[in-house]
Amino acid sequence: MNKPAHILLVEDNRMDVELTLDAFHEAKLLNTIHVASNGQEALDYLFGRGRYADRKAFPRPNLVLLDLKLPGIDGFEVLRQIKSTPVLKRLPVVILTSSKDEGDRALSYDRGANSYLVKPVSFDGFMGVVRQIEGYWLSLNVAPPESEA
Amino acid sequence: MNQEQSGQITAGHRVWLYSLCAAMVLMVAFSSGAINTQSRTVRVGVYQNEPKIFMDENGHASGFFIQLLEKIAAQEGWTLVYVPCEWAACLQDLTDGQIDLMPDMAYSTERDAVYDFHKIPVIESWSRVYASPGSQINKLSDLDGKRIALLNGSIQQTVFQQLMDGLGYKVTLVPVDSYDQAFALAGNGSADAAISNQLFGDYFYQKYGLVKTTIDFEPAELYYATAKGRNSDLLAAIDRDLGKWIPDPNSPYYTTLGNWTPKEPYRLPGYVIWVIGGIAGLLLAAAGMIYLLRRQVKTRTNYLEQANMELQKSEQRYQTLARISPVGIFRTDPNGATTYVNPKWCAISGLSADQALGDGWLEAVHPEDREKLSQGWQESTHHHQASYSDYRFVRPDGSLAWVMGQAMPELNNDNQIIGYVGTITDITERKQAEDAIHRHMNQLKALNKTALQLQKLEPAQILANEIIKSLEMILDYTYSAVLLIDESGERLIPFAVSTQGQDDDFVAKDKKYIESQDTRLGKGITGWVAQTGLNVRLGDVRQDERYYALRENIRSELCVPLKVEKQIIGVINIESDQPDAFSQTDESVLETVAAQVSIAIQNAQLHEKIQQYAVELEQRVQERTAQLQAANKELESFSYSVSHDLRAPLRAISGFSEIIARRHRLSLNEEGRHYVDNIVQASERMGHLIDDLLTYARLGRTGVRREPVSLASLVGEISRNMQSHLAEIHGTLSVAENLPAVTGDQTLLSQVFTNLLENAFIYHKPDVLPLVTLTFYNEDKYVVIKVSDNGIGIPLEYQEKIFNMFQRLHSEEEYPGTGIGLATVRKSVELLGGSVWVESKVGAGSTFFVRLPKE
Repeated sequence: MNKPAHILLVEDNRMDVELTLDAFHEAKLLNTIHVASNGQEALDYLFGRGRYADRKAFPRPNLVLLDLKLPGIDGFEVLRQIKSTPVLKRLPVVILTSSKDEGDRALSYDRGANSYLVKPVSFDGFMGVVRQIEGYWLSLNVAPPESEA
Repeated sequence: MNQEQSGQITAGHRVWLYSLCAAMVLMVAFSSGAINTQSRTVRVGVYQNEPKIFMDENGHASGFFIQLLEKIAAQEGWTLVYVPCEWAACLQDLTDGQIDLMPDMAYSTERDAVYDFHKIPVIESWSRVYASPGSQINKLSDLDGKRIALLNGSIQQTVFQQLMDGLGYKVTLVPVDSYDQAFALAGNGSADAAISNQLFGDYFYQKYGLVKTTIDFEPAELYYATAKGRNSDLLAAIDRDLGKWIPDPNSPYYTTLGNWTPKEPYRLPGYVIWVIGGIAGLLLAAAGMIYLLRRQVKTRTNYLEQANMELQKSEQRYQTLARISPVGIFRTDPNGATTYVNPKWCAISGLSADQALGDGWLEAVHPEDREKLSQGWQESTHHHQASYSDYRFVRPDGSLAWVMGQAMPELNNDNQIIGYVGTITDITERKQAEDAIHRHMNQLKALNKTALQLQKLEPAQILANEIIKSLEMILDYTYSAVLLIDESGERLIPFAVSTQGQDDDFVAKDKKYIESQDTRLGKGITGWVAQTGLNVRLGDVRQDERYYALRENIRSELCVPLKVEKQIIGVINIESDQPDAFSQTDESVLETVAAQVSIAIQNAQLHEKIQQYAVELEQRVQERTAQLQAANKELESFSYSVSHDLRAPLRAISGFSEIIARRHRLSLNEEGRHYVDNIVQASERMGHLIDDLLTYARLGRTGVRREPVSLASLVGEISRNMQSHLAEIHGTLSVAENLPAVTGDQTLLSQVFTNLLENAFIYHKPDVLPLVTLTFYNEDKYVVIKVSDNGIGIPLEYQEKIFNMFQRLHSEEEYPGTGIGLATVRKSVELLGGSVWVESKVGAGSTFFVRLPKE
């Protein structure tokens, strides 16, 4: 059992955020979830810029749950930046999107997404996914070593 | 010196002769004694050696020597007494003094010792070979191997033998006792030749039928001889006389000699009679001949007269023929100068007979043909053969007459040319016909070429030029033009005009000029043709009221319409400054050209239209494509929207209502609980619908891949994914082994079979464990997959409808489903080039067939 992880949830839809958080809570998962509601925020958080400069308050996450459709800088761009920044690229990024579109999948994997999950429609399904994410990525998966930076 | 033996005389003869001579001697002795002592009595020995010396039948001495001696005796006044004796006896008598003189004595030195000879030889003698005619003995060498008859024991024989031996010739000697015998033998063939002295031989050879040769030997001189020392006066007298006579050809010597060297055959007795008879006969014959000749002359004269008459008649006939002959006849002298022409010749050539004479006729021959003609003539002269040629006369009025001429040289008996005779046949009509045919042939050839040219699709301007070029090849004209009816249907505008050798500018100006004229339909010849669609061919335009002069100096015009499928689109018009320039043939030819040109123009016009359309079409297509692409793009974004923007709120509805339904269930009353359950359900349904719709909408948008797909692995994966579900519902899926590979899109195919297999398990009978089998069979280029279930089955009337969008046979409560699945299956399968259908029976299950292409 890993130490409680920090998850960065990048999602612009308020309701989806609520549902996700509810699901985590319902599943009694003890992770700390930070939410960024657009790409810029996400990047600021990841890079520790602006108001997220305080790494104590805003620690670097162990997992990123990334929606593709974001206002402004979209999920693909965030993904690209993560994966092309030495200090961030080991970070597991799970795409969490409602799109089954093949093109989106292709691009995501091309950009180095570690996983691609489609948001289920039902809440039960949602809870199931959340549990599995936690189970796999935070328990089963061996985290990458810290990057030197 | 040889010794000659006398000829055979029988003993009886001898006695008789001897007695007779003795009597005569006595008489002569008496008479002579009585008359005078002045005449010298000479006793002469006579032996038989005809013709030199002999006693004849009557007992008279004869022969050359005797007759000569008699002449001498007459001269000298001697009295001759002949003493017949044999040769040897004569010689003895001479020695004894019984006789005084012995004639025919060959001189030899031995004899000279015993006898005396006078000085001048009487005659020369030699041995000569007389041959039988068939013996072929001509020269000495011919004697080799022959049988020769000659006097036995004679010196002749010895000498001859010696001669033959000396020459190395082998001869068979046939010894005989007399020359006569020898000659007889040679004459009857018992010997090949006989030898005698030439005096005998030449005198008698013909009698025996022998041939005289020139093989002579042993010459000797013959004399009269006396006994030694006696009668020398005789010898002197002989010499005296011979000395006078021998040089004188008219002397008694030669007269005598002539008696004894005859040339004529020995035919004394019958000769005269024959001669007389001959002469008489000749006279008769002559008379007869004269009579015959006279008759012959008469006959010949008659014949000649008749022949002359015939000739005259023939001449007349010839004249008549020549006059009425349908061919021209002429004669020339050896140099080719005309000597005669018949009336027809004059008619053909246009010359009078006088004008034609000499070289006048050649002047009338067309200058271009003269060379050829004289060449042909030369050849004819060389080879003594007829010459043939076609040539033209230029008549005085300028017209041409084509003739076929032939000339033969006339030869005399010595094969020399004495002139020429020939004919000319008027072939003007034939030539004209030939010319017409030639022209027509050329036209047809040009037409053929034209047809090929005009079949090519070319822009209008090039086509116009091609047409004009073709026309120029085919017909002779001054101007030509192709006029087309314009869009208004009222005017003719020039499409192509003849260049007249000028450049394009000129042509353009020309066209403008034409356009500027009144070219309404109906106006002028061209207008009339364009209106009526009928040909017009005029030999003289000025005589036709329709004519509307566009140009000066036109006399002939030929105009034919251009028609396409019975509709007049224009005309071809050609004009000439010559009258009657165009024939019926030309008109037909132009019609053919017009047909080709019409098609060509139509083709060109159609082609242009097509090109226009093609351009327009291209534009429209591009526009439409752009539209479609825009539409497509819209759809894409639409799908995207749906997938994201619709789903999100749906998730919220679904999610929160579920939370409420679960967590806050107890806060709700019965109704509240029920309704919130409804919301949850509805949201789920909406979610499915959106998913299925999206799937359907996206089918084929990203292109349908065509690659080999292993059905075995594809179905295997689907099967694995279904395992947990199958376990829940206690269903069994049986998949055939060795599923083949097909050509298609992996994603689509996966969707199709997922759909079908899921369906197969959904529509199960409530109390029956679902069993689904997936099998296949092969068709030629396809494979057909069968998905069979033991479910509820599908009524017949719906077996096609179920593939429609949203078509469901059951409510959501009965069986889940959006009504989109089968529509998606069908669209997917069809995109893959296959087909799908169902066979089913209510209550007995269904089998879905999917046909997919192998390649």
